[in-house]
Amino acid sequence: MTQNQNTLSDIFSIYFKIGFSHIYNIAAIDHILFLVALCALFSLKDWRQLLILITAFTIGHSITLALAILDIIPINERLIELLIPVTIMITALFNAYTIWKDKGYRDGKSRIHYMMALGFGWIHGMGFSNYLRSTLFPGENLFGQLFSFNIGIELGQILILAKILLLTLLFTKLLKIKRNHWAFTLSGLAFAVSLYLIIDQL
Amino acid sequence: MNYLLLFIASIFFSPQSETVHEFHVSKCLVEYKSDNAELQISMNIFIDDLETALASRGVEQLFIGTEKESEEADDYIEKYIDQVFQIEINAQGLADPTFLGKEVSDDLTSIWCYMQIPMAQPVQSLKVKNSILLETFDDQKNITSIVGPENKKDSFMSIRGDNVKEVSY
Repeated sequence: MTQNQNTLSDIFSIYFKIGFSHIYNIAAIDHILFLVALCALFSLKDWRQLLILITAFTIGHSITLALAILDIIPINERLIELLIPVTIMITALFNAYTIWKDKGYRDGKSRIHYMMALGFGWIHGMGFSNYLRSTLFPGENLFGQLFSFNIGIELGQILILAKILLLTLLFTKLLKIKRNHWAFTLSGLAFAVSLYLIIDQL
Repeated sequence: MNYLLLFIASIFFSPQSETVHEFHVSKCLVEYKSDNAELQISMNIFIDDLETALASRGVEQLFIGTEKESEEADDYIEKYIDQVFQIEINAQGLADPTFLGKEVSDDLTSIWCYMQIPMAQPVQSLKVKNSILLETFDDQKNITSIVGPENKKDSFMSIRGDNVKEVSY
């Protein structure tokens, strides 16, 4: 009994750390920028929408991560690495369009945002799978590893989100930058870097 | 958020960026086989990472896993692994694993190295040090899975400054 528990807690602590450090890390700039673009239109007071948004993204990437790790769907690593910045770019462009159409910032009510979070989550999940796969041993029962890795990713994600929201609060409330200008800046930044990431791979 | 700025700075200052795999991990399985009275070790390392480590030790142009692989490649790999991966069995000093050979992974990005240590007595304790590539990359992580008698499993992750695990049975 204690033997199994030992193994389980080992597995949890290892794969939790792997998941967490995979996203909470400068090398994960693509995933981070996607989160930046995804929540650029949202403030702390929109926490309900944000919760739905981030849950949609989580469901999305958890599904494809599991399917890829269990070898149910094949992964073309290069294609996924290219598609991830494309998801950032589309999200950033959609933000710009929303700001323009609404003649200014309105809280991100759009259902399209939720759909993007879910659909683009699929692509990011396949990206996570490349990394997780290189830490797994053939013939293992993968449930614990998948679960712990996902929890690690989740916590990292929430921390990044909290930082973005804090920064939003700082710039819009303390420095009095207009909300839509701020959203536009974040989206512009995400757009620029995603463009770089795409060109870099061509 | 300061890493965002850092990243943007790095775009302008880095002459070339890696796009293939931007993470540094290796994995290693240590299995006790009581039937054969031996420890079997299989180790998975990314080829480009290993070549970076060897190059920093002055060993270049090995072309590991390709058609033009150097004949000395296995020797250098074995020597490298010997220095960074060590096992002590039943507290009787460092064991001397026999390098059986290597195999390139299906996607050609990594190699599996196979080693073996014959055991005179049943295993009572193992001390494994896995510092593969830790001095080469500051974000290197090595996962080691140890399967002891009666399938008892232990796993640990090596990072800089924390790369040894002891188990007793």
